[in-house]
Amino acid sequence: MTIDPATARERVLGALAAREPVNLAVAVVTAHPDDETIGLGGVMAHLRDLTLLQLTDGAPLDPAFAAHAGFPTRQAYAAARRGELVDALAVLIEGRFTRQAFYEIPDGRLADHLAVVVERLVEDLICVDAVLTHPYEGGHFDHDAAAFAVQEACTRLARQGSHAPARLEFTSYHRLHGQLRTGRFLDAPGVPEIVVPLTPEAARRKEAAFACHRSQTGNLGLFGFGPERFRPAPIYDVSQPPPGGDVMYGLDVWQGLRRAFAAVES
Amino acid sequence: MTGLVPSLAPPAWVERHDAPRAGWARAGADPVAAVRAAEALRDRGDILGAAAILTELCRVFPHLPYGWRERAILRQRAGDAAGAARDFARARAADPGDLLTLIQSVRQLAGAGRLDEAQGCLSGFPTTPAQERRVARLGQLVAYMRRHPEAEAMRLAMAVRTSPRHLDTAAVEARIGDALADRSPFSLIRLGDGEGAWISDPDEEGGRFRDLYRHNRKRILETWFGTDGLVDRWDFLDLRQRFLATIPAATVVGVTYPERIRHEYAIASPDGVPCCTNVLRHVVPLLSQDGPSFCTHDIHLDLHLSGALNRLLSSGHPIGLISCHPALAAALARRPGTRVAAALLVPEEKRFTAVIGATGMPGSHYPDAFVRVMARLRSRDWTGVLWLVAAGYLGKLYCHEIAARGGVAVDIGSIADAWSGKATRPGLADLARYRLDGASPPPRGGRMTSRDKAL
Repeated sequence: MTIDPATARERVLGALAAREPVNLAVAVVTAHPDDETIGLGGVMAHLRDLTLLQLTDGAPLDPAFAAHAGFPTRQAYAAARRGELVDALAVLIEGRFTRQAFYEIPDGRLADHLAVVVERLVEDLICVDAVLTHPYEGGHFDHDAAAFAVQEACTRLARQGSHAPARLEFTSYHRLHGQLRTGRFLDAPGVPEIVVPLTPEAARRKEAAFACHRSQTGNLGLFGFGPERFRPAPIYDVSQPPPGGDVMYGLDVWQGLRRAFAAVES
Repeated sequence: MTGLVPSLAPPAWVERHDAPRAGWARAGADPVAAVRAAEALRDRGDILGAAAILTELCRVFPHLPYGWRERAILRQRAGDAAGAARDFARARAADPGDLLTLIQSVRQLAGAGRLDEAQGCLSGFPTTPAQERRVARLGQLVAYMRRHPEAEAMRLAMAVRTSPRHLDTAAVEARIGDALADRSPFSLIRLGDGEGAWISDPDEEGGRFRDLYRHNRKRILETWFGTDGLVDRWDFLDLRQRFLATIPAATVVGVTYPERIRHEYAIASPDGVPCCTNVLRHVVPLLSQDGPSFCTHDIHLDLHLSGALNRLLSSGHPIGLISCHPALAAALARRPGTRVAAALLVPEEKRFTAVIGATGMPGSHYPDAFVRVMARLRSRDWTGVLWLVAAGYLGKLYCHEIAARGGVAVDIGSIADAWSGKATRPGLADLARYRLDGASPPPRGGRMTSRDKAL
């Protein structure tokens, strides 16, 4: 590997904490268009060798979602969200990335395509030094599926004896004590996090990127422009519900996720 | 440059008045449509069908140049130089100002060694500003072939081939195996026509070939980066000095071979002749000094077809990969016994974007990706790592950097495309022979290294 995972982890987190450029190859794996802006919009410009892997197209299969967002079809909604992402990336990083790949899974259906997603992640993550993705926290089932898929892909690479990147996390959202919480991680003992206050310029950029995700205005109103947090990804036991929080999408849905995880692991 | 054309006996079909074939019927009485139909058949490999149409076209429209010219090209490709010369003469007589006929005639005459006649043909070109540069380039090609005739290029190619420093495929495999076993640095680079365009300086030999050389540089820049904007950029020109330094420093250098020289001179290729010959002119002086060994620049194909790459991949040494194929590293990693230690992506050669498909990498290889890749290669020591490098001209610099950091670098060129199921070169048309998971021949004598052989 160009750099071992432990060193990569330290260097990426150290550079982010210091708000300095990160010259290592870093992949950002997000479940939906806009997750990148929410989780790391303020620091993304520091990632000089960025691979963006977008797992879903942001449009659920149920046409009611497209209609509710003002689009005639699911495809039109997906195309709009792709366009919004392009606009947001232009604001956040001036469109400068090393590579971008769209897996184009329908929004909400990541669990149905986990085997394919993991295989593709194996292909894509072997080329980077570190990967940033969602935590497994019970906030959104696609987020939890993304966390699992990255963990599983890295496990497979390591099992092959091949290069596996350092796994890192950005924040999304979860529920704690009945309250929605954004911009924070669920506590994970022994997993230190770094807190990166946004400079006024970074906050302005993030706000402008939020505005680019025009179809998500309502949801994005729940997120602010406070500090961004990052940490090494714990090794999750996905046979158990996310530790310490509530499962926002319900335990029944989580049971389905668990079965999908188990099928891929086996 | 076109691929090598197998030499055929002079065809008997060209003067026969066969019954009109399907293509001619489709073309009706329109000579332009007939030419297109013939070209379509020719490109599909139906040479007889194409020839039948063109022969009919010559018979019905003898006063037009198209049929004669296209039939001459067919004859030329089939190795019938005399017949081609006759048809080109008829085409020129039919329309002395037809541009395509003149261009092809110059190349046909030059390829046949009739340089004075080729030179004479140039005077027939329209004297428009647009054609002056073309005439200048063709004139310089003829002058180049006069200054550096095929005999000289063949002598240089034979000097390499007959040198004790020339390695066959098995010897190259053994040298790679030795380097891995000894944990010593190794670099195998290949110099094709693209590198040849940059090995020579447009101002050398009094600048007499400047237009030709610059055109070849622009052409290859278009192939690599989709633009010729780098042709005069100082940083890219500076890179040439670093490229030239990789050649004597390499362990093995793959260069043009006599059969290829014969082909390029026979078709008077405006890029193939100077580029291939200039590679030889550059490397042959190294034979009298301490320096690299040599092999053919098709060694990457031979290393695959002989099973050598398969054996090296399975030898237990960690593998590094530089290519434009996002899925290739993981495909290598899935092979039992292959451990991928590092994989670096570069944007594809822009000429082949349609073939290679979406890689998700915007921009071109130089300068952005080049700077990133160099930075990552410089990040650690590569001793004991076998790097497979498929990155064109800039790949030579990567090989040099890897070897400078203790690693073993092998320039596998278009094999990476073939392993990814993409036929980017004529030689890869039969992709089934180049499958990554294809069964490879057993090791010859079970040899992996020259030391094993000695044992």
